[in-house]
Amino acid sequence: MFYFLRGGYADVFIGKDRTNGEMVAIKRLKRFNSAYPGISEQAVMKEVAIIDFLGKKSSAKYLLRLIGAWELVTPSGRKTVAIVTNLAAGGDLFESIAAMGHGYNEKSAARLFKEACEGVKALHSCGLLHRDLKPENLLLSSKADDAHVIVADFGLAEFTGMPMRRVVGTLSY
Amino acid sequence: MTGIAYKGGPRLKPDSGTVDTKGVAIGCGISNSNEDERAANVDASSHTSKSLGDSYYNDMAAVPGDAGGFTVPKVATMNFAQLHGHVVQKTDFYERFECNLRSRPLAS
Repeated sequence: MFYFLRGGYADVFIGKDRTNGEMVAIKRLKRFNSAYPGISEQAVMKEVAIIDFLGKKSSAKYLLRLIGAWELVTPSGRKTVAIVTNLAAGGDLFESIAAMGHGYNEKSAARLFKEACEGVKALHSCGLLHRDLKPENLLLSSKADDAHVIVADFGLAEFTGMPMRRVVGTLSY
Repeated sequence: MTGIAYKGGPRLKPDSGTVDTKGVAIGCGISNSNEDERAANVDASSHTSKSLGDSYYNDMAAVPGDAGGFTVPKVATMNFAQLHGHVVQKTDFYERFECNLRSRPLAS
């Protein structure tokens, strides 16, 4: 029913925020060692910080929203981190397009594209470049026909002004 | 669907130009890409915990090197410890969220 993160480095759960009743996505990292951080820990922290930054700088509803990151102790007693974001219960746009077979009609496609542009505009207004825009990284807020787009996956995002000398993105695009 | 060939297709890694064949992590929107380009020519060691808090979002830091003249939010140049210290909360997770992390995860 729901679509969640893949990649093998985290377990994903649905939870409920007790403060407002909102359903959220909880990603518990499988391997996270803050004492000896490697590239993956640093990349995750940077991405969490970017989403946090976006949340503080923009109120755009078309961007993934970080609720927070919490230190956790696993059942086996190991420290790790849980990253909590809003729940994109509609999955991603790629799956939605593929499931429809015939794709979106022109009116719906135009609306979704406009929302994606609004998200990207908000991103750019914060001085950030996504650098990996594609249907898989555009999530849908729900399964409903009027679900809105949520721009997600800031793993390759970078601030304008930072060195960006190499080609990044997804090869098939 | 024509034109959209690979779900979670290979991603170009910024550090080597090689392809990450593990695919792309999405869903709650955070990937596991090995982005290390950000560290290039940036010295985050000058930032201390004093620069966190509100300045985390508002203060700007100069980017040295041949991109000289650019400024970026300090968050862009922070090292792991600074990011971790600011982003990761120590309060009780279970007081805030109702969930069962001992159950079978919905995805891994």
